[in-house]
Amino acid sequence: MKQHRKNRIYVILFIGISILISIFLVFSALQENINLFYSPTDLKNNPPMSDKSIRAGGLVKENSLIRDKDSLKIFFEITDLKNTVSVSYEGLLPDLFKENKGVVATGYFYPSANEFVAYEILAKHDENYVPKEVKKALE
Amino acid sequence: MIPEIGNIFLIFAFSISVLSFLSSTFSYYSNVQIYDLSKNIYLIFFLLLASFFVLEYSFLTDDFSVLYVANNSNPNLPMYYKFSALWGGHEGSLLLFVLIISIWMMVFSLLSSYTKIEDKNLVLSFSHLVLFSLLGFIIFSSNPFERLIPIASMSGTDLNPLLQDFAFTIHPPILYFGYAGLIIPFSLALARCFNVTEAWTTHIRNWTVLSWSFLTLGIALGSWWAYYELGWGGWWFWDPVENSSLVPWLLATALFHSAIVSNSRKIFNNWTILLSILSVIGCFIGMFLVRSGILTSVHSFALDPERGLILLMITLAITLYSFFVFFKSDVSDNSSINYSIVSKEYFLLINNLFLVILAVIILFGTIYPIFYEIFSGGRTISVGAPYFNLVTVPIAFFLAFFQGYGVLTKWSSSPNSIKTFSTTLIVIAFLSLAFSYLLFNYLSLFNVIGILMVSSIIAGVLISAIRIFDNKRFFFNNLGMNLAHIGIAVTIFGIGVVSSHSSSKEVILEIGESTTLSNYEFTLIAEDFKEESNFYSQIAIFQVENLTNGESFDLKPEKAFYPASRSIMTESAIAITPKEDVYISLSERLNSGEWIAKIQTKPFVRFIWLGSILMCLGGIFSFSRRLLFK
Amino acid sequence: MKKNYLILLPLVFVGIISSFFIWNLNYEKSDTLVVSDIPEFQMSDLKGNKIDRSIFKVDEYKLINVWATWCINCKLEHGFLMSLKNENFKIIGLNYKDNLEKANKWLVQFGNPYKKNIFDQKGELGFELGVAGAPETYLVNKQNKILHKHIGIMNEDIWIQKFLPLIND
Repeated sequence: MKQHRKNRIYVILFIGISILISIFLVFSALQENINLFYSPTDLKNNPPMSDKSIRAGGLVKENSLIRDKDSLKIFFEITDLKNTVSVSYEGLLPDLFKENKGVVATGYFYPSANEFVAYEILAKHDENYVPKEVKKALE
Repeated sequence: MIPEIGNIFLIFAFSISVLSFLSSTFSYYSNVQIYDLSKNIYLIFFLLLASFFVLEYSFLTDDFSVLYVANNSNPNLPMYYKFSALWGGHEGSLLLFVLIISIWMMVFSLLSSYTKIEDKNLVLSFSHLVLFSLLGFIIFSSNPFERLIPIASMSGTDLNPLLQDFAFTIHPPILYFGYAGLIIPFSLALARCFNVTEAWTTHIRNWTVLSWSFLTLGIALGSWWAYYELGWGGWWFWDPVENSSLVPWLLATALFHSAIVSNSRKIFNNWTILLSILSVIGCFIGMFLVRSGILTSVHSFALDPERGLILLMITLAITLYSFFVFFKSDVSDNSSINYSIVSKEYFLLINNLFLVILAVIILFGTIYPIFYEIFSGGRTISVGAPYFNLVTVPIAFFLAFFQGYGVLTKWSSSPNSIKTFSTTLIVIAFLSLAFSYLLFNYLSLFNVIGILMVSSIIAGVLISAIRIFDNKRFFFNNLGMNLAHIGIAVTIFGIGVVSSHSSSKEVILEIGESTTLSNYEFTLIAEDFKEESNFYSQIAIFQVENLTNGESFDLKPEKAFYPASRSIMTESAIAITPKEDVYISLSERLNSGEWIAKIQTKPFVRFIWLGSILMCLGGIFSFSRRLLFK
Repeated sequence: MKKNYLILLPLVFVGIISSFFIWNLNYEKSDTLVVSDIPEFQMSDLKGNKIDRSIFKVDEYKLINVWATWCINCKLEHGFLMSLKNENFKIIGLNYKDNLEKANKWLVQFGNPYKKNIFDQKGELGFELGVAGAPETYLVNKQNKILHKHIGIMNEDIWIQKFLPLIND
């Protein structure tokens, strides 16, 4: 019986420690890996720290897309119809990326240059459906 | 006229289901003898099947006066996709789901025998509870037979081009077979709370294993689909929709392991019941997340919040009801069972603990943006894939490591088996090292973790195979389990290698130009154009030469345009070699005539799905063995 | 036997997340009030006649309805728009990224709820108005300011809950 009780304590200890470690894991991982969303107006009014990865979204401004001659570098502007921010990105653009269409870019913002350096571009958009954040940014 | 008939079938099925539930409940409380209600399910099945074919008929005959057809089909769509377009949207996929629930209920009713007919009625009544809730939801707020009145559409939009694909046509039905199957253990667990004790743990174990097999295959198909159809070579995106299928999978895995203990040792009974309930609630929460549009995702159906609210209410009602029943019940364990810390009971406890923790943190990460939005007054965030990788890998590691040893333990082992415990542990460690050495000659931290996981499982299975080699019956009995466990190892191996040894490169090429990646040389040799009934596409032809053995082959990735839905699709081209996949996807064609493309090599990526197939086969084998050789 | 109350923990968990879901679902629905002007524009209508901002007459409420023949949901709200027209409410159509011929055919076939139609083939005016897709419906007040944007299908409920209170203010 004594052994039985001892085992019970082991089990409870084990469960407790596992749960504690998991909670610690979750919160430390969350701290590092969430990306706040900013509209161009947010970026202007209260810019984030440039060492923190964020997401910026809005519409791709018409006639703003410039492609570098011999690399995959791309420059364009994101607008929420009130403010604009220029974005640079190196890599492939998603199929749905188009001027005048909604886009969400993930990357770092440099307030001094009003430039957003993106490492990921998402454009999930058809005519009937807009990403929630973009919709909000446009309101 | 015909679509209205489909609707009437649905209403009949709904009424019969409600009546079956009510009469079973009534008979339980009033002790009034009633007839065998399990026959009702055949009728419901045929009604739902008829209703399914009525909708299918509207799709195949291009009846665009039906709103759902107009929204999801197009006259130019190939016949095959017109058929599968039925489950391309919210309403139709829900209809398919209830049809599958009725299939499970029917199969369960056919294959299980109860001495008391009331017991069977009671078990099925809880499935009816879920069935009629969903049927009501379909009829009153997501009716696929709704007409586009007063104006009929002439042409319809189109099935989302992403979904015009073979894997997609079979992925939802199989996944739904997985989800719907979990309703059987759920019903068994609730019936147990009403003192239906006959073989309840055996039933829960067997039926969970079977639906788990479908769930595994369904998730794997989804991942395979994403791999080649989304175009960029990822096989898992930690997308809300993927997560909401993974959570029930983890819970179901925990459930049948716990049911094994309940079945053999008559302990963990309450835990098994709780897990049965939670698996179904997990499915419902997943369904809510996917269908309410509360989270944005590639796969989600854009929907109005009203329907989401109703679905949430159904989820809450079922949750409250089942917890009420569970809390009022009186289920106890066999208190004479003791087990030490190196026993099978203990290892299965660890397995359950880690699986449930995994499920909770994945769910938490998925819905965290919703919490954040509320607490920060409307700021939106996204939780990136690194979060999920960071939190799941360590837990998965322990899970896999204990799995390797767990299969070797015996029930209730006494403390003196600690000696054998340490010897086996040393053997496992040694074997793990040997495997690691065989598999790779250099090691990064990620490799070490992956290899340890894999090796531990394989070592465990091997040792147990050797131990039972002279006992053929025993071997046969454990074949399903071992197959599934090896499947896990194979999948982890695939994940580990792909994550650490893939190479990729983004290039701009003009015709005639070449580039090298890994040990392949890629040359863009020509361009082509093709036109199909509902799309046309530009094709770039690459010649790929293997620099080690000089063999070469062509790859033809496409850029397709679908006029009806005005969307562009990236059709990647993949060459499967024994060791790795060579993967090319086109980004866009520049005005200068150059192509931007992404080229990748993905070593052993197929192992991810191969492992899943092994798991599925193991599960099905285990179910059918138990069914055939009782 | 006394049950351990710990088993209610998952129930509490489900309850908490559900209340968050409900909160979020309702939160989404509360559109913010937008006030912006109708921009200047030079466009043509579906018959090819030149039109500009002067079609937005001062001193009456009107709607801008963004529609297109490729948009299925526009068909769904068509009946409601027709009933608004019968109540003599002025609706200005913004035919968005569409085909002229198809659009005219549509109006002949299903009825024309619009007082005027702006043919915005490239979505230029749409862009300035902040159109994200179709259907969308905007409420414009007597001073030609956009008071409210509704994204998605218009119906009786939305009209009564979102639009009428603003008009009656």
